Amino acid sequence: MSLKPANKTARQLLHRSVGNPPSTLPDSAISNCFPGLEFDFRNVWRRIFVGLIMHEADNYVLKAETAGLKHLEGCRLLHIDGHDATTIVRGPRQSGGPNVELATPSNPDAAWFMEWSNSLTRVLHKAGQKVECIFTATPSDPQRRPDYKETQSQMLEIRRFFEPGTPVIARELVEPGDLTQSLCSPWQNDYRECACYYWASSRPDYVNVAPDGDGLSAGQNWMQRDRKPDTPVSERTYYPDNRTNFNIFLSYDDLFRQWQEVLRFIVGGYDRE
Amino acid sequence: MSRVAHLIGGTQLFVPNGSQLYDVDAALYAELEALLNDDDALEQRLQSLGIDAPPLIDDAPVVSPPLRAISLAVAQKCNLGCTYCYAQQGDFGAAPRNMPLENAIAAIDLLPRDERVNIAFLGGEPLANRAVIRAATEYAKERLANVTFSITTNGTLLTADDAEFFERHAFAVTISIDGLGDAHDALRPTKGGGGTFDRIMERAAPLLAVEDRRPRLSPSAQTGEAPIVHWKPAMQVSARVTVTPRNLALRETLDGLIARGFHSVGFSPMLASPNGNAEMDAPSLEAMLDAMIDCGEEFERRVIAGERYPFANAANAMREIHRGTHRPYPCGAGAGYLGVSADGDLAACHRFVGDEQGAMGSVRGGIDRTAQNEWLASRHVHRQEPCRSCWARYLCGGGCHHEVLARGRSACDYIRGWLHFCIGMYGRLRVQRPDYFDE
Repeated sequence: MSLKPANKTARQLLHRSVGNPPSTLPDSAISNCFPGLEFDFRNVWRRIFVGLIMHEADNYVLKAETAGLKHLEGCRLLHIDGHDATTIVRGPRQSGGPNVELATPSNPDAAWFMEWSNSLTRVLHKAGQKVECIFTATPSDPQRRPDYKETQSQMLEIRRFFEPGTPVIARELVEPGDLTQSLCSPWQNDYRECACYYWASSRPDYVNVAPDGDGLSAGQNWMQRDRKPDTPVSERTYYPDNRTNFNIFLSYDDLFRQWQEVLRFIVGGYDRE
Repeated sequence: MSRVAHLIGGTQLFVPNGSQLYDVDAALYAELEALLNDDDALEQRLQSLGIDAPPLIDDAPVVSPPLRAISLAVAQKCNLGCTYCYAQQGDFGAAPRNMPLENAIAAIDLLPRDERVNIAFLGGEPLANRAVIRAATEYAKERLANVTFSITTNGTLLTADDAEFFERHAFAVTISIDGLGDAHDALRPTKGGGGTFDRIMERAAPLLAVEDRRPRLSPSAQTGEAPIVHWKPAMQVSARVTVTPRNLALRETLDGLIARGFHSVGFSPMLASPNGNAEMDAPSLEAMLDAMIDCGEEFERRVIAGERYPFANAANAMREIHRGTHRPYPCGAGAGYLGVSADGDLAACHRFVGDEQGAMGSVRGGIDRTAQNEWLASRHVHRQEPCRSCWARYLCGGGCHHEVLARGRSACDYIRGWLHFCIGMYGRLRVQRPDYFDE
């Protein structure tokens, strides 16, 4: 079965306003919305509880909007209406090793927040109602496990997600600018962070790619030291992807301050000065 | 017929709510086709496809809208004797008269000074009162920040000086012409019965010559040319053809008028005349639809070939279908647009001059908001039959108020047939000439 929108009213999501570039359309955007290049969807959850502003990607109370909830600032949300908001992280410490709790000095409980869209799914239908929320009793920098004992309880109202009867995100949930704050910086932080083959075809980090005859591919990877297309494959050398020693490769700061020099443009197949 | 959806040509689904258009495959088309007689089931299926939406047009009428356009019946008299004329040969059934300038000025003063507004000069034959057209235009230019002008004329009184004046003020000039030569003469004679076609073409020549000197750019013709950086508004001279059972050779008329240099040519059926003269009956409307589709198919061929072919009905339909135009009224009459009689009475539109049915106050007493709001409440398409159950209701809006109040809805099959054809053409042009629709 196939159903494709054809005119403007059917294609509202695909409508490109005069003057906007193609990348403003969902079907040509990179659409990595977490945190995102075009918008940061996580921000829809910050005001999900009436009276509180939560961190967009953490169970941390950033701010209370009413005086009666001030005592919750800096605390962590552990349970929502009986459902856990955190979990214990388990896994092997080494390849092939046993599953263990992955505690670290900064996270002694080996606890982690479960991201909002999943942990709120089971309570969103209670929009307009108050539900019981369990927080850490005092402000807490580290994550806490679900069975953490020193807690406090607060009844909080869940906001509705949509404007009634429409597919529009409720106005009280996001203020102007909310969805476009905290975007990622693809050519600076994130390019460095996601060094190898992370980026989609619209933002390639491996170009001029062709089969090399041996079942492998040959092309210019942005981490190739000389980045010349005619360097024989056997002679190409690469920067190691070392995320702790920025002296070896590029630092975030290098990319912020002089991306045009350290990345340069590929024109006619060559890195140009 | 379903009020929820309409299917076209085995490939298209039209949803009246929001005038949304979708391309569908054969399987879905067949499935929806089987539901066309069961609107509840069809509505549920559209919902499951995720293309339901709350009604974009509700039952609430527009209330006390701001005025954006007026027409001035500057001359309620005419030198022609067209038998079908809604204005009864120009005088609206009363003593012939001209609009005094002070009434034109009082009407212009009703328009907001900083909004985009339009002033249309109509009649009768407006050029029978040229002095007031000129003076009112100059006054409006002084007073209003963003005003455009239009005039609908029988063309027999045009002068070279008019061409210069209309060009200077970027008038949209519409000349009523019902065919080529004899076909026109039979329908639009002088009061004495003489033909007028040759005279109109002679009189229109200076206007068409001005148009001819400027480059013409249709959307498709723009491809590959330098972008227009500076665009100065300018006069456009269009032809309006009133179609009766006696001038159904539309293709010949269209091609003939385009060849004579008109900026665009549009057709409109004569549905209600004061004396029933020349009204279109069902067989004539069927013949007209065939002729319109013939013109439409030529339009499609020309657009695909990248050629200019200014068939206004088709070009407008493409624009509105592309936008998904959906409206609760057929036009702005009685809402943002009012007609002004020579005596300074306000009416729902130029056709309701002197008609109590559309009376809406006066230029001195202001808009009668009670009458206007009653009109808007009663004319909403949700209050019209059989419009409420018609798939084309938000593209059509219920049909011309004046014609409907005089004769009822006699042209629904024609309107639906034309829209059905145009939606199909839109689907084909979107594939073959997507650049035609580029914004």
